[in-house]
Order: sequence, then structure tokens, then C-alpha cells
Amino acid sequence: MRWRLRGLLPLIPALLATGCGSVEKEPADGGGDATCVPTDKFFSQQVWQAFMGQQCYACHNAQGTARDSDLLLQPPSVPDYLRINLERVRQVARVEMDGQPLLLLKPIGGANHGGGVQLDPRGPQYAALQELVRRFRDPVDCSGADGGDPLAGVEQIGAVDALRKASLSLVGRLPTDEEVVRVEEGGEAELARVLDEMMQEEAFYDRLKEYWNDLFLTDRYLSGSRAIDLLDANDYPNRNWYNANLPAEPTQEQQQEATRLRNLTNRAIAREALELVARVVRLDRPFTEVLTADYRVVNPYSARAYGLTNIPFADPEDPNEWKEAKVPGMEHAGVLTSHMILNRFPTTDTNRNRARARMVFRWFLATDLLQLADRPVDSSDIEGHNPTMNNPECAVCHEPMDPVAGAFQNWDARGRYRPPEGGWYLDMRAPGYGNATVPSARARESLRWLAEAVTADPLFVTATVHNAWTMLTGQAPLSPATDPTEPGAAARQEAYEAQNAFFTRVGEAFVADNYNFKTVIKELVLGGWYRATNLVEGAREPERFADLAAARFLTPEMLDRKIEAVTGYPWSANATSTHYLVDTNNYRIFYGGIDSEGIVQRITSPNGVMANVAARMANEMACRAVARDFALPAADRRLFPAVEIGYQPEDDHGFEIPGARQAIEANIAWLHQRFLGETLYPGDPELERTYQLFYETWKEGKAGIAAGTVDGWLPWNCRARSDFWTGEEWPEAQRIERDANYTIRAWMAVTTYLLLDFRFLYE
Amino acid sequence: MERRDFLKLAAYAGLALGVPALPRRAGAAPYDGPLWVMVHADGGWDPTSLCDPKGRISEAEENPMNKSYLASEIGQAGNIRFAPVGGNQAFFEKHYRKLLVINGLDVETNSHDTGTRHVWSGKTGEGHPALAALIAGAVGRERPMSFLTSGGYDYTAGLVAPTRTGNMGALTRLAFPDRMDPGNAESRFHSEATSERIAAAQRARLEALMQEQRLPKVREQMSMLYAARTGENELRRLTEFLPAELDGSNNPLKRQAQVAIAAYRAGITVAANLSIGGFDTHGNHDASHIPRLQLLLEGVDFLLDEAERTGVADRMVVVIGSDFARTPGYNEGNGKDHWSITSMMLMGPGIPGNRVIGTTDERHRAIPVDPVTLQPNPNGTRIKPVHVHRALRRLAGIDGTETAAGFPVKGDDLPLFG
Repeated sequence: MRWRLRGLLPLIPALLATGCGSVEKEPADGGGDATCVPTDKFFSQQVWQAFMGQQCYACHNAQGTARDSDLLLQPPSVPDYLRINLERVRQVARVEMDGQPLLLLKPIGGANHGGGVQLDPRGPQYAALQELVRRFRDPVDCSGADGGDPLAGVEQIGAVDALRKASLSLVGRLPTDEEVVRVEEGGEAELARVLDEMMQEEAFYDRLKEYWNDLFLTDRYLSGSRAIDLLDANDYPNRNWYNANLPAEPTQEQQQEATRLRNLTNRAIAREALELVARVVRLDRPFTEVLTADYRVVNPYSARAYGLTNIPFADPEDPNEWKEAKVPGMEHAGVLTSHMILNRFPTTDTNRNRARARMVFRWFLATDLLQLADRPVDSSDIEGHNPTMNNPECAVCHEPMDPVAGAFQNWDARGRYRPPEGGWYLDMRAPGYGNATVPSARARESLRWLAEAVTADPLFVTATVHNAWTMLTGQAPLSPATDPTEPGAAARQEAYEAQNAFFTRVGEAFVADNYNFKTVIKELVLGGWYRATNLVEGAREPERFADLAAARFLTPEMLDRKIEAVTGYPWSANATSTHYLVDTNNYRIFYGGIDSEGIVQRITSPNGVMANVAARMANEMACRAVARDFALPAADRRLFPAVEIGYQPEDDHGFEIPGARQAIEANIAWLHQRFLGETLYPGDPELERTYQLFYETWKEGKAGIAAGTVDGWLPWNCRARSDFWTGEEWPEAQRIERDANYTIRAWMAVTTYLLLDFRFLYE
Repeated sequence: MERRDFLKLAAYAGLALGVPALPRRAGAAPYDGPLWVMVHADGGWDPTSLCDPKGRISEAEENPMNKSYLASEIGQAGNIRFAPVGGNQAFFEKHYRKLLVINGLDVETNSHDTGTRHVWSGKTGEGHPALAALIAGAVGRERPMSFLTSGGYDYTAGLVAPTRTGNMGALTRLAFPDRMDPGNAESRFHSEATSERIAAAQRARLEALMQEQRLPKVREQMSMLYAARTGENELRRLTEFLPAELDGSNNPLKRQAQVAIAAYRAGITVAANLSIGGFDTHGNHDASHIPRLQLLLEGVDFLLDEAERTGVADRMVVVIGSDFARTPGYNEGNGKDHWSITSMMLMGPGIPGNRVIGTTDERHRAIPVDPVTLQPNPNGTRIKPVHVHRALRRLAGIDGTETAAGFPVKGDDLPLFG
């Protein structure tokens, strides 16, 4: 979609007349101080952070000396740990001895407290505990009070800027003229509608699959026949169907055709789990179906590999037509039964699916099992029988993990459906989830059972919101302060709780809309956390936002899309070659990307090599795009609608040419808006800075041409001689090869400058 | 880029923490401090098959510590005992004079992530940078490839940006981003004056943006971009030092070593993570693990030889470690599982060689040491990564810096380096 000039040209007189401006920003709300403190906040601030999280937790944890007591507390690594701990404390507070809650007796040494005296009965900590117990008996209702805006002091972008940010993030393009006008006039409600429309575009599903591959890493199998080769030949005798009719000595054409069919088949199989996620979202189905789907998604090519010949494809040659299908003789449980995922995260006889279980917790339950063992453990002290079952040092992780691992019982190390003849290991916790075990009648579909259990857990909602947040922003959700004695811990904790509360509300909207993933995206974009851009001067407790990252360093893929969206051209050798930033043989890895194989973590801040990649990009794209844009009619230009190559600031005698500077500045303002999302008005220092760059470059070059030291022709690579997309040579009259006034090269300098800007490389 | 400009920008970003320990030479002189190389054996290596040997008592022994050799066959090079398997003998006999072995190191976990983090940052919990990143951040954060990583624990806490290496053939184009043809200095996109003008405008704009920006993380991001640009002209020095052909064998450590040393010689790298995997041998341990150890030692030997060949061996500190270790005895699949008592090996200037600190009993349980004499003492101290990190920070001269103070490793000091 091309950006039209409607928004700019009528504004030029206005731009000339008005004063300074800045990026559209909504004023930050100033929240009032809360006079009513909800019990959960009181518990977090006055009890947990103040002493319970360190002092009591030291023994009252899954490995501690008080692990068998009723007061078993969870660490911050457990999602929603504060709510869980508050509920546990509330339950314990109900138990009394001699009319006094045990919760108040034990810390001061009463009721045979194994930990003796921990709190001074006259001290503030004990007083806080007493207040908490009082609140349990006599609940505090703060619903009518002004709780204060958790984002008080944070500057936020408005709806139009949020539209641009979301558009680039979700669909890799700039918003159209029409979309901008709709949101300008209709505000947040219209923004929501535009987002709905954007999430119908294919580019959104490409982005969705890109994000989920960061988790599943199944693109590892994209090349050659790597995915096909993972299928068992006995289970899928037709897996190499594309070779079936190949003669013993095929012609080159026959071999090429077989390779083409192989590649299409391999791609469909490799990306099957990602296509399932995309399909569920595309059809507005409950996102739970990503796990509970009792089918695979196949296209005409993978269907043949699976031996599924009776699927009614509308076009048997369309690789983008996907249908739901079942492979006979095995359970189907969404992505959990993906051969690709099961191979990407394999198991061994001793691992017993624990690695797979860990992934389930990480992707769909917002839990990193390995963080449960952050506390130092002495595993060299393991003696006795079956430590994973019986030793608390080990059970802290194995208790939640092993039942889930057991649910994978029917899938072997090669990702084949092979229910074990003798059932699952008896020296391991029974397959299940939490306190529930898989019924024996469902043993052969234990992953289906697990899918139902996991999606019924509220943590599934939490995980979905977290995933959507990371997909949108590149940021992990804020984490709680693990050590309240560290500087700034209280402020960090406050920010975490505020964001967590927001995510909880988003989760509620998600559930209310039948688990529609798109609802999560919309709610996040419409929320303040996504809109944060700065702090107001003098903001209260700025350390609350120490971890808030309002800008995202674009991934190679996102930057690649942005380059083409903004300039109109890709960064590649030619129109058909792989773009440099997504090519492993070029800059993909250098720029912090992944290969889904050995390199699986993105680099999220630039280093020196990445700075050079960006520099090369900025130079090459300026060379490619500038002259070409001038070769178009003004009405069709993306970059230079307000100037011509003859517009020079001064004549040959050094006198200002009337109107030229204003037009040049207007076009600079246009470029700042298009490249950086900045709105600049005459007099803005940034406008002046860019103008000076243009002016000084032009002046230097013009003098060089006059002196005969600078060529009046553009460098060959930077000339506009042909249509980039078709390669068709333009007629002489259309070409731009000379730059006798050096204005093209001055605009190239400006273009390079903007392509290297923080606000271009970040979003 | 002038050093004073960088200092100014870093101050705007509130990054004074990371700035003070800049190289002593003024201006844009190449880094000339030591090269810090952290070699990570990914998956949990078995020290009892390497530097803390526990052989089989006899062929008849049930549940032996190791089936691959007898206790009577344990080798020794100088003061260092080693398991007589794989390439151990050749390695230890060649390098024992420089080697410090620490046995009985308690990493307090069986978790891969936690163990790796504990070994390489000194802390089990999240938040501390890898030691390589900490050193790079303290003494050379403005270098374009200050911290080079090929894997292992490479979290930087924002002190420096980690650099990965991809197709080194593309590096030439990146070394000369201003040239259309990297080999032709005349083929510029912009005149030199214009390129400088663009760079000056960028710096000024970034300064202005940072002055307006009050969110700490965004300021940090801006500063990282600024710092990343300071070395754009230095990257081309790397192309001068890279070998004509990088190693193409199946040992990933060799290629990683070549790039790390070349980058160091170019003055653009302070520290590097090297990494080799395949040590998580829960099944068929001896047949799988011992060859991996051999590959590891061959890679380290290559690193040392390359350093010697290029004249930087006397300025290179090498630290070798793993997530944790492997259980005493074997499981049902003839493999070994996770075990929290492990070892590390170190060498380089300031690290006394031909020495073993710490010990374990016959079933590889840690024996505490006297905190003064480092002799076995049941009432003494268990050696933990915190002790190693405190000693290494002192060796690197960063223990008193604000950078290091931002990431404290709390514990006692053991005289590990004398």
C-alpha cells in the first residue's frame, strides 16, 4: 500500500506558519495517592517484602526444614506467587490454639514453633502480621477508592503513534493514509477496529509464526528433507512420495521437479506446528486449541507424505491451502504431538521426557522449572533410594515436572507414537498434572488428557498474555524483586505488581472473548504499558520503571520489513534474491538473529558488528532508493513528494532561493515522519540539524563540481536506470543518472542519517 | 570518536558505573590488556574422567566410579593427577606447568541453566553478567567486539553487547561499510567529509535524545547504540588479523579460538566465551563422554598454540569449566547423571601452575578446605564459584570498580592464586 500525499501537501503552509512541536504524546495522568490499601498490596509490601519472603521463607519452602508444615510458601519464580502465598497464609490463619491464630503464636516462639522466636512481639513486623490477620477477619474494601494510576509519571504515545508502532510490529508496514485518518478521527475505538483488520492480513500470520518459532525452533528442519527424514518410514511409507515416479536415471527437469515437490513437502511438515498456531488464531478459535486440537494441519504436499489421500483440497497444488486431518492410529494433541517438536526436544531413557515437560511449562504455563531450583541445593548429599521421588532437594523440580513428563509416555525418543507395552515407569510419579493422574482408560491418549488439564489451568491464560506481550515488544514481563534488601527492590516490586495486575485484566478479557488470541494483542496495544515512551520530569519514584523498556531493538526480520515498508525497496542484491538481513550467509547471524539450530537466542542490543551492518544498510539503501524515487512522478513518490532535484537552497551567487528552503524543510519533516514517526515543525532543533546536514553536504558537493574535483554523475550503483522489480530499462528521459546540482547526493546523506537513527533501528 | 565524547554520553545514560575502568592509553588506541577466554563444556563434564580421577579399584568392583580405567592406572604430570583416558596424558604433560586445577567445587545445583550461570557469574540466581562480560564491560566496553561469544552463559546485564560471528566472508563488507566495493577505497557511497558529517549529526542527535529521555532502560539502549558505533573503523582491523582460512574441522573450539585471538590482536576484543557441547551423557557415558573431553582438550591445546604462534600467550587467561559434573557410578543406561561437585581449570598470567586446590573423597563428594592453607579440613570451607570469581575479579583488577560493585559476589576470599 502506498502512502499518499494527501496528508502532507495541504499542510505545507501550516508547517510554515506554526511554531515548534514534538512527537505526539498524551499527557501523563497524575494519579493521586491511594488512601485505602488493598489486602494483597498490604501483604506484598508490609509482610512479604518486609520479612516473610526472606525470614519465614528460609525454612517454609519445599526444601526447607518446615517443608512439611501447613505454611508452605512459593518463591518469586512461581507465577502468581504472591496470590498463592497470601491464600496459604490466610488458610493457616484460620487455625487457632487457645483462641489465638497459630500464625500469630508461632513466630514469637509459641505452639512449639520449630523455628523458635522469629519476630519481636512488640516490633513492626509482628504488628503487620497482626494487621493482616485482622484484615482476614474484617476484609478491607478499597473498590470505591482511587487506587492511583500505576503509570503515573509515564509519558505515553497517542492512538496514531500506537497505530504506527503496532502496524510495523504486527504486519511489517506503515499504516495507510486512510487508517491514519480513521484513528485520528475515531480515537481508541477506531484503533481497535483497524487492529482487527490488520490481524486478517497474511503478514500478521507470518509474524505470529516467526514468534512461535523462536520458542519451537522447528525451522531447524526447513532445509532439504530434514523434516521428512524425521518421519518413520514404517509409519509413513509414502513420505518420499515425490520420488515415487522418478525413473532410475531422471532428466534434469524431472530431478528439478522432484526437488521442487520435496521442498514443498518438507516445508509443510517442518512448519506444521506453526501453521496450527496460525490456523487457530486465523479462524478465531479458542487459543486452547493449540494444545487440544485433535488433528494435524496438512497441505496437499504433506498430506501425501502422511498417506492422507482423501482430503478435498480445492487446489492440489496450492501450498497455502491447509486442512485439518487425522493420522490413523495415534493420539492428536495440537502441537504437543508434533513430530517436529518431539524431535526438536528429544528424550532419552534417563531423561524420560523431562525436557519436553519443561517446554510445556515454559511455553504454556509461564513457568521456568529450572528457576524453582535457584536456591542452592546440596545434591551431593543425595543418598538413598529414588531421590527424584523421595529427596526434597530433588523433588522441588521433579514433583511438578515428572507427571507432565509421564504424559508424554506414548511418544518415543524419535517422536513416534509407541505406547509402552508395560506402561510408564513405576519408579516415577504417575503421568498426570498437579495432583491429578491420567485415568487408565485414557493412558493411550495421555497427551490429550494433559492438553485439557493444562488449558484449564489459569496459568495458561497468564502464559498466553506473556507470549503476546513478548511478541509485541520483545520484552519479557517484569519480574518480581527476589531480594528485598537490594537497592530499589521495593520500587521494582511495585512496578511488577502493577504490570501483573494489568496482564491479569488482559487475561480476563481473553477468557471472556472465548480465548481469542487477537483480543490479547488488542488489549495490550490499547494499554498504557505498550504506549510508554518517557518519564515526565520529576516523576514520583522513577526507580519503579527501572526495568521498563519502551523501545525494542528490531530483529533482523523486523528491520528487513521496515526497510522495505519505508523506502519501498528491500535490502537485497536484487528483486529476487534473499534479503541480506534474513540470509544466514549474509547478515542474519551478525545482526543477532537465530538459525533455530545452534543459535537459538536473539541478541537484543547492538554490538560493533551490528552497528556496521546497519551502516552498510543505510548506505546501500540510500544509494538504491533516492534517485529511484525522484524518477517517479511527484504524486507517486514515497520519499520526496515536496521537492525536485532542482530545488537548491541557494543560487550560484550564494543567495537564498525563495521557497526552496521551506520546501526542503517540509520534505525533511516528511522524512522524519515516515522514517521515525516524528512530527517536526519549523524551528525544531531536529529539523534544523537535518537541514544543516543537507545544506552542508550540498554546498560541499556543489563547490566540488564547480572546481572540477567532484563528478557531476551519480555513482553507477546509485543511478536510476531501470525498474528495480522487473529489471526493465527505463527510457532515457526517465532515467536519473546525473546529479549536476549535488542535491541527490545531499538527499542520500539525509536518508543514510535517518536509516541509522535510534528511532529507526528501534521501535 | 573521542574518548571524552563517549564519557559524556555514558554519563547521560547514567552509565558511570561502567565507564571508569577505561584503557590507560588515551584516544582510540587498541586494547592491550589481557585476553580473557572462558571455555565452557556444555552439559556437565565428568572431572573424574579428567582432572579429578577416580579409577576402578578392581575389575570385580561393583558400581565403580569409572569403568574405563583402574585406580592404579591414574596418571600424573607434575603435581596434577589425571584420568588415563582419551587425550588427557598428552594435554596434561604438555601444559601442567601452567595449569591450576580446582577440584571439589560445589555449584549447589543439578540444573543446567543454574549451574552454568553459577559457574560463569558467581551467582545461582539471575541478574549477574557472565564474568567475561563483566570484565569486558569494566575495561573495554567501547570496543566494537568487546565480548565475543560462541555460547555458554553470555548474559551481559547491559554492560556490553555480545557479539556473535557468522559467515566470516561477509565480514569484509562490514569492515568497510562506506565502500561500495570493500576492496576499492575510492568507491565510496558518500565523500569522507559527508560521512563524517553524518556521524557528527548522529552523535549530536543521540545526545539530544538522551538528554530528554528519563526511562533508564531506554537511556541504556541509546548508550549501547552509541557505544556500538565507536568502533566502526576498528572492525576492519579484524580483517587484517584473521587467518586466510579458518579451521574447518569438526572441532568448533578451534575456529572460535582463531576468531577470538584475531579479534584480540586487532585490539577490539577483551573477553571471549568459547563453547563445546555434548557432555550431558545420561547414557553410554564412556563411549560418548571421553571423546568429547578429548575434543575439548584438543581445542584448548589449539587455543594455546595459536596464542603462542601469534605472540599473545603471555597475555591470555584461560578458564575452563562446565555446568556441573556427573554422578559417581553409572545408571541403568551406562550413563552418568548430574552431580553438583565439579572442577575448573585455569591458566594465565597471575595464576600459579602445576597446582591442585581442593579435593573430593572416593565417591566424589566435596571435602572442605582450610580457608588459609587450602588443605583439606572437615571443618573448613566448601569451595564454590563465588570464591573463584572473587579471585578472578582481583586478578582482572576490577574488584574495586563500580561496575563490579554493581554485581557483588558475597563471600570469603580464598588464596586460590597464592
